[in-house]
Amino acid sequence: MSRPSAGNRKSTAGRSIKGEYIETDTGNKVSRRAKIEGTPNIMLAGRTVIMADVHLRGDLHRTADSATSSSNTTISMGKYTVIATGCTIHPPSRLSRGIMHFYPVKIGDHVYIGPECHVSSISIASHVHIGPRCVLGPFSIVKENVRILDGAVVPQGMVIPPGVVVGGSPARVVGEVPEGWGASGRAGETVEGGELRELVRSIRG
Amino acid sequence: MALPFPYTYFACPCTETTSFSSTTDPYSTEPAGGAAEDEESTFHSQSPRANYALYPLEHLLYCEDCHQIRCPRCWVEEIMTWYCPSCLFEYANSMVKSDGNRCTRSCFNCPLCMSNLSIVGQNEETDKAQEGSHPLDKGQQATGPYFLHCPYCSWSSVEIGIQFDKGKEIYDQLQRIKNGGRVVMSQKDKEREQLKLRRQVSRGSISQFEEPETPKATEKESYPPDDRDLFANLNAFYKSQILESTGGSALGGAFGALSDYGISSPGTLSRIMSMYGSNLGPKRGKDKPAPMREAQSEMEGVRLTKDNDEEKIVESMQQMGWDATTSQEQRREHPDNMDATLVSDLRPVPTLLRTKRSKRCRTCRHILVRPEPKVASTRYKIRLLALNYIPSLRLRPLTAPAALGTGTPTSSVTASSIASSVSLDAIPPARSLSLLLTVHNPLFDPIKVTLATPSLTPPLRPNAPASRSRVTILCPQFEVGASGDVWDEALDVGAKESREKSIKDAAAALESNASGQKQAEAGKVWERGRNWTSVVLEVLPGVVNSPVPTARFAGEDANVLEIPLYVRIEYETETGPGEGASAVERAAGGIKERKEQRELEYWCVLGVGRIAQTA
Repeated sequence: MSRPSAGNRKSTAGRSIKGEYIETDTGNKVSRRAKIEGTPNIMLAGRTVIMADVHLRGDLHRTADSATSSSNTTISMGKYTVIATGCTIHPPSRLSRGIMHFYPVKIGDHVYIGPECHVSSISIASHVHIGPRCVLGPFSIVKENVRILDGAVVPQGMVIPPGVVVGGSPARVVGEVPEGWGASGRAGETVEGGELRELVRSIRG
Repeated sequence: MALPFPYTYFACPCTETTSFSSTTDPYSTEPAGGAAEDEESTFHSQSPRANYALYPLEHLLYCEDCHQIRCPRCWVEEIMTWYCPSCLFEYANSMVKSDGNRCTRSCFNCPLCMSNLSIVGQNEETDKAQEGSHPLDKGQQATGPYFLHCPYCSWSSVEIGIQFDKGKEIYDQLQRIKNGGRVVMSQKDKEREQLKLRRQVSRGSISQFEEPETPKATEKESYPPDDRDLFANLNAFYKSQILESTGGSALGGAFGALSDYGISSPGTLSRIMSMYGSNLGPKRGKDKPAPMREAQSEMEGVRLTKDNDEEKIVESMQQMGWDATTSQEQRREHPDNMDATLVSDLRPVPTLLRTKRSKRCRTCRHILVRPEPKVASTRYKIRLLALNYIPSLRLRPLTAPAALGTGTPTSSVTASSIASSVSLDAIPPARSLSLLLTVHNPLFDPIKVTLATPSLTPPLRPNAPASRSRVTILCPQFEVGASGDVWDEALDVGAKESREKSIKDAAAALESNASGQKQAEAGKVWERGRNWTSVVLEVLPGVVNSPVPTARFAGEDANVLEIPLYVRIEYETETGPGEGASAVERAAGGIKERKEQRELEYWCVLGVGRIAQTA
């Protein structure tokens, strides 16, 4: 199995401290209470936070028989991405000729996924803020600077264009994020859509 | 937009028309026994109008030439790019003009629930799957016939009898298919047919107009023409009429008596022209164009209603029930669906295009925001955000150092000065509450801030003076240091000293807090940092009774404690070429610029929280 850099991978052998979170060498903070399956298939870029009761389905890789193929990363997450409590990240699947094919989930940098969300998107770009209790349907694509309001249900295959506010069930574009979105953060503060550095830093084991 | 408490909204100065000029003394609104005559000039946060003036700071822009805040009311938008939000395809301006503002590729929305429709092949991978190809590629291989399917509500175009031969260019294919699968003629065919018909008619006698019993017309009877056809017919009819009347055809003259008094007929128009234009009048009167007649048949664009049309609709509604009828929202979504009474009449809605827009100041026409034109890019070429120019205000509750009100002293004073226990969703009424207001300075110059607030907030309900809250700013005038790199401060000795002092102060504050001693003093700032200063606000919330059932004002916001706050900042800044010079250079005194005094004033509304209602 080849991988760009082994250090980028979440490793349980990293510097671990007693407490809620296990912190890896690259600064990933993973809750001890998170349920992570298929660990080798999950790629965290570093300084990613995975909170308690998060369920990462890394075991759902492309096909059952292609496990030996070179690229079977199922979930990849960018830097300073926070997955709040009770979320499920479930790679989307498509039934084709009687075989279930799973497709990888890609999550960008500075993405906040609120508590109790179900994410089956194919890609989530950077600086996305997802409110609590959202459902992101299979194969949905979320572009940059998007805000998804609480409890939105994004239907299957929906493409959310950059810079919009989405809400409702089924989710539709309800507005646009202001120009200053994510830019109002001062030192020591975290705003929606902005850099999540401080939020990540504030989470301690 | 409902923000969580506490929030700060900024009022764009464009909303104040006459009440505020730069000469207004900010102290006129200072608590001086609540001067009644000044009440009118303060910002009324509860007025319905205020909703249109208040914005979160992120939404506002700043014009560098006018030195003023700009809100959506005082900027103009210019469309840069049109794109489909679903396929992210960019549309050229000319395409939008010719084809309309909807995606003309294959993006459709469900007519029932408005989620995106996906194109599904009916026979998925029949025999084309090859062994060598990757399983991922095989999944895409679906063969026709294709249909549109809603992944959210499971609506499919098969329900309205529409299927497609190709999986691409659905828009064009859909144009040619009516609900139920009937193929319509293309526009060219239609025109050809029209022309043929008209030739027949013009060659024939006048009686043919009254009885359009041509074979084509009878054929059409089974399918009433839709709006688009009718409009095309009507358009063609009037074009031909204009042609005939200007050509001086004898045919047109025969109907002169019929339509001479029609409002839109050119006969009327020329009559009016001759009435008002004296010099044109007599000459024009002689060669007055022959007036036109009105459309009479379906072929000419008239919709003929049959007696049983409505009965049929009522009958089908009775049979199929409420669920089979369309909602107003569904009908409004697309002009094609506007007359659809039944769900089976609805057609898939082509996705509306979205735009990327640049923004200009309405006054000086300077660009405030200019995004990169590409859809995929989220960067900006120009972006003048208000939050980079005006100080931001943050509010947070502070435990009451001593109960000033009549209520019992706070039960537990935590070591930290921030009261996490104070619930802003239920502020106890008539009990003093201390709030910490932090002013952050984004500018590279130190600013002088003057705050003012009406001593009593506007009443939350009409005729309820008890609901007014008393607000006191303990330190209404203070300075906030300049922003800039953290390192500038380390290099600057004076700033370093002040920083040390502030650290000492903070430490002292912490100590005194631990013993519960630190008192907010009038005229003194609470805490000070490099580019921020916090002051204490004391609020005595008003009493809000439980909502009166009849009052239409007692909406959900009828118990929100909002404080109107007037902010005035003064600062000195360099102008001219040295404007972009870094603070280091300035501190070194290397460049001597002309200093300019600037001031900026605006109203804010601090949303503190909800006052607990008393029965």
